[in-house]
Amino acid sequence: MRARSAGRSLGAGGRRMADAVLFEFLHTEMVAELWAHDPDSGPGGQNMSLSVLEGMGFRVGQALGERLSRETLAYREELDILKFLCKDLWMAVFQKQMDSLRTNHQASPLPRGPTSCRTTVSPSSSGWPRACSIWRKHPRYGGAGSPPPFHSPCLPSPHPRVGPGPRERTGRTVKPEAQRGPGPGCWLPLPTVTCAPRPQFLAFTCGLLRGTLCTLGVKSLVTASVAALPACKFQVVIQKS
Amino acid sequence: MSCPTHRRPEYRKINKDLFVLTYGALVAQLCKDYEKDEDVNKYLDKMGYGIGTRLVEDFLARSCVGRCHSYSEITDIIAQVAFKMYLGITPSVTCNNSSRNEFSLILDKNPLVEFVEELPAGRSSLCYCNLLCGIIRGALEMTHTTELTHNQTISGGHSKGPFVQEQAYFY
Repeated sequence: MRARSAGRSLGAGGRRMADAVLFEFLHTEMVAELWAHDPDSGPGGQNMSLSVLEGMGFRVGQALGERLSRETLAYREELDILKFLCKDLWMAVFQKQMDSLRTNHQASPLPRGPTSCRTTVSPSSSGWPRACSIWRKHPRYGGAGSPPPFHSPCLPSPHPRVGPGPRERTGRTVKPEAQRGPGPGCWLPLPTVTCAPRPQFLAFTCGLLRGTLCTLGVKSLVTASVAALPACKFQVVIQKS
Repeated sequence: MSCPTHRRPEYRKINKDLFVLTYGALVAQLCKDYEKDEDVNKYLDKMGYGIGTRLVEDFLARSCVGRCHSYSEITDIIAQVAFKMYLGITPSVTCNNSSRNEFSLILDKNPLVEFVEELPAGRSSLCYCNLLCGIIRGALEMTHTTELTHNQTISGGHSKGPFVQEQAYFY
C-alpha cells in the first residue's frame, strides 16, 4: 500500500517514466561541468565542488520528498523512514529497491532514549548506487547541529588521526565495531578508504538521500563508499535534534 | 543495421521527476555561477552536446532505424522515435521553408518545465531548455547528418508562451 501510494504520488505510471540513460548522461555531464578541474584548486576546491553537487542532490531530494503523499509522511519511527527510503523511494525513483538495510538495532521509536542505527547493504548488480548504511551517533558522544559540509569518503586522509568531536566522523565509513572511541566525542581512526570510483559521482546521490530524509523530518549526514563496483554503500548518520 | 533476433533487453526506466528536478537544479546552479544568460545558454548547449554525442549511439542501437534519405525524415525520427523513447513525448514538426532544410519541433507539453513557474528576475534571455538543443546538435553531428556543420544552428525559444518550446534547426 505504501509503495503504491508513494508510487502514485511520485508518478510511477507509464507517462511519468523517462529513460534511465538520459539521467545517467545528464549526471555525468553535470559532474564534468561542476567538478573542479583545476589541479591547483587542491582539496579545498574539490570539496567545494563536492558540496555543490551534494547541494544539488539535496534540493532534488527535498523536492522528491515533498511529492510524497501525506500518509507516507506520517512515519514516526526512524527505522520506518529508513525502510521507506530503501524500498519505496528507491523503487519509485529507480524502479529497484535497495538490496538490504542493516542496522545495529538498538533503535527505538523517537523520541524515547538514545538510539543507534547502523545499516549496510549487500552488493547488487545495478550500475546505480544501491547500498544503504545507516549509523546514528550516540547522543552521549556529541551534540547535534546541522550536518557539516559534504566531505568525500574517497579522498584519502594524509594524516590519519584519532579525532575528537562529532565532526571528525564526517564523510567517513565507520565500521560498527569502531564506534566506541577512547572517550566521549571521539571516534577511532578509520580504515584506509580505497578510492574506486571518483567521489564526485556519489555526491549527488548522497545529497538526494539527505534531502529526502530532511523532508521526512530526519536530520542526517549521508556518505557513500564503494568497495567493489557496481555496488555502493551509503552510510546515513542520523543526527539527534 | 539489423535488430537482434534474440530477446531484447529491458531498458531501465526511472521516474521522470528525478530527471526534471535534476535538470532544474542544474540550471539554478548555472544561473548562480554565471551572470550572463548567454553563458548559461552556452553551457547548457555544451552539456547537451556532450549528452547528444553519446545518446545517439544508444538510440541507434535500440531503435534500429534505417538510413534516412531526407532532412524531413530525420526530423520525423527525432520527434516520433527519439523524443518518445527518452522522454515519452512526441513534439509536432513543421517545416519552415520550401528548401526543406529548416524545421521546428513544437513541444506542447514540455516535461522539462513542469516545475518551473517563471524564470528568475533578470533572466529574460535564458533558454531554459537549451540542453535539448545541444542534444540534438550533438546527435546530428555524430551521425554526420550534415556535412556543412558550420551552417547548422539550433535554437530554442518560448515563442508561444512559457510552456511551448519551439526548436528550429537549420542544415
